[in-house]
Amino acid sequence: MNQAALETPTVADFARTFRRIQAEIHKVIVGHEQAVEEMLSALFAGGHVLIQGVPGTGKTTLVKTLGIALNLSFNRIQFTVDLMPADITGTRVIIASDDGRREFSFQPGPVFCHILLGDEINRATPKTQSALLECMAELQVTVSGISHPLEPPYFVMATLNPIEMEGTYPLPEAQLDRFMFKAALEYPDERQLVRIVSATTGPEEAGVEPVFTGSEAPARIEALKHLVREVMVAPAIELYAARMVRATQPASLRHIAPPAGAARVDAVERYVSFGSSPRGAQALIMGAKVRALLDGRANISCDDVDLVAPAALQHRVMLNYAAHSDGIDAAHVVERVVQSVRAGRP
Amino acid sequence: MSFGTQGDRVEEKLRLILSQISALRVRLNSLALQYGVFVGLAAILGAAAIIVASAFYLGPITFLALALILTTAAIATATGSARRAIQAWSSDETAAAIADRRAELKGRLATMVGVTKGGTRTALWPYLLEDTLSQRDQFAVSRIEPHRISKPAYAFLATAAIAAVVFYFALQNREQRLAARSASASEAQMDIGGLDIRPADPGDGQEANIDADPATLERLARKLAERREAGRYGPAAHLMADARDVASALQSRITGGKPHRPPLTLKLTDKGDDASQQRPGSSPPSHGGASGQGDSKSIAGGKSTRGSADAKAAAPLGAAPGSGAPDKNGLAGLNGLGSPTAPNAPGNEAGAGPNAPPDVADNDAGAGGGSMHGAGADPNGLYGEAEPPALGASNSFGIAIQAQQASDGQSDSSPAYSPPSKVNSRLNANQYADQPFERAAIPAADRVTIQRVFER
Repeated sequence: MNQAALETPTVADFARTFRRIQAEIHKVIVGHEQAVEEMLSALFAGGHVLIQGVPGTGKTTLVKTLGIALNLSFNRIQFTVDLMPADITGTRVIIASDDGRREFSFQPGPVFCHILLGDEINRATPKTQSALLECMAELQVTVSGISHPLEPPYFVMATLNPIEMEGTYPLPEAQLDRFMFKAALEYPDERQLVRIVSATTGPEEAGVEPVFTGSEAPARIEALKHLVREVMVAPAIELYAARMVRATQPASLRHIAPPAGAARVDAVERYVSFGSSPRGAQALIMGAKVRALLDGRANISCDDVDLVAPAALQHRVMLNYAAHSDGIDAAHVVERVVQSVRAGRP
Repeated sequence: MSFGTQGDRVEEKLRLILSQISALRVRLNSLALQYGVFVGLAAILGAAAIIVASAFYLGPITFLALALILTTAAIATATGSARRAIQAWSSDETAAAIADRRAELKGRLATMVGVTKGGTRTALWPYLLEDTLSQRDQFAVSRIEPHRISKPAYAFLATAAIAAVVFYFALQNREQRLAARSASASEAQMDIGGLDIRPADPGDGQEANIDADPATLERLARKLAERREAGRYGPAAHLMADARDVASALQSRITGGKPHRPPLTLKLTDKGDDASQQRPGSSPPSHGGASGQGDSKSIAGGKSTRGSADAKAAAPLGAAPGSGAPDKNGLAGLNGLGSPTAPNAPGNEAGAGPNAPPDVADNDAGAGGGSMHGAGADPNGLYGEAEPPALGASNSFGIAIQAQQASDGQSDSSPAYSPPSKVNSRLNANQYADQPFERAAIPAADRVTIQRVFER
């Protein structure tokens, strides 16, 4: 493969590569098609993914398989209560040199990789959780006043266990907002369970073949990420996405200007204390661009925005006590928002 | 050079797509304009046709209410259609979005237009151009919007046809009415349908044509108007009456007929209803003698077509010569009874006019009853003091008249007949009220004999 092909992949290249990675992952992961697609979309859109699922649904396996399929460096951090930020980012240690002198040297932490799995991220303290903020947003780590850049592509996947809440620390809103998508891994159905059992209890485990060779993998992925950004967006679609994000914000918030002509959703007014941030709109557009490329288009449509809205907005909507008491979840609210905004299409 | 040629080719493809979108925009706007115009015109035309048709068949108030409702509805519909047309007015972006939706192009056209008008052309722009051009047939104008004429245009045509028929017949009817009206303009007629004058014989017929000179009729009309004004109580009644007048004028303008006037009930009475109110020296308590003086309902100067058979019945309306002149209340005389200018009128035959011999008048006055009809009401000009009314005798009476100005004999509908109120005529001089006989006194000579008989 020559250099020109690496730099300018076509729309067809993108879709073909995407489907191939998907196929490799599904050699190991049974089911979870939507979660896998959302995870890959976030990867090519330059975002990060928060994966929520009960134990045993293949969260860690999924991330590991992705690392193998992409042929990228992969690290895993098991978050615990006593985990410190320096354990993640790295720290300065005294190292003796050959000539006997001792000097401080930065020892990189596990964040220095291409794909990082933060397992059960909600078990760490907020202080440790926040250590990931700079990595995710700015692709760098600052230790002792010195910034250490991370090598792109950089992709963080964190898992959440929704059942074992004791001894956990809910992620702060700022941390949640850094994740582009939130994917949910549900329990497999009966047929999927049979396939999981037969694939994992035999003498040979399914082998995942890397889609990219080791040397070109980062560049290929970066080229594909650049192609995603080349997808064009009509002003009307941008307005549509902005309107959708505004619709997640209740009108009663004092620091939000009253929405003029925006869609008013009753569910939002009743159950939402804080709506999505502008990062939500960015996630909508970038996710829609990936979907457009997968559909062979160089432009996004309102349908693309609608499709990525649940994954992009659910974790950005903060529900109030009324929602918890009424058994309303964020998915329900976002669904109402999408319906309301869709009704106002031109 | 090759780059320039390729760029020109790209621009040519872009022009093809944009021209197709522009053509679609023109058609969409044409349909929107047609919608606004035709819906508005159909509403206005339909309302006008219904209003014109209803003017011939409905009463004034109903007509006015219907006209107001229809006018409001037509204005609202026209305004709404105009607003909707404005809302449906398409720009290139809107037309592209509509084409995207109808042809399921997933935002290709909207993106193309949006990027062309200020967006950033990325490396994928040629791809988008080629991709969109390859689906050019799907967003052809005839496929996106096959209609050239808006559906409301057909509704407008149907409404216009119906309205033309309505207007044609209305115009013909109006001309007929105007012709009839101009033909009868010189002859003032008064059709008092349902005139009922008691105690006339009902068998005499209820339709009596009353002819009179225009001045008399004018006075009558003025009196009727005064009476009508007096009958308006409160602002609501005034409002209703004004509304009725307006509606009637509008109806008459449309139909060419005379304004509709509601039936009025006139009560013609002698000056004094009660014997106790009779002034000494006033007219005798005869039927024909007292009317005219101050009785606002008495009418003079006319002639009756009933002939002498109606004389008795019409006699109360006749005025005595002295009082038969136009009274202070405006109306004087009806049916020519007691008119000084119509000495041969039936009323004068029955009663005693000013030209009658004194003895006749005197005898009639003394005889009472029917002979007293038309005896005159000016006791000062006759023969001394008027005879005081006998006890129990009637010296006045009441007459109810339902009068309406005729509309050239082409009245849309005769006024509804309402029976006159019951009139209690008082007894004349020779009549006595029923009373028990008094026991006769027993002669003194027979008293002993009668006592013996009863003692046995």
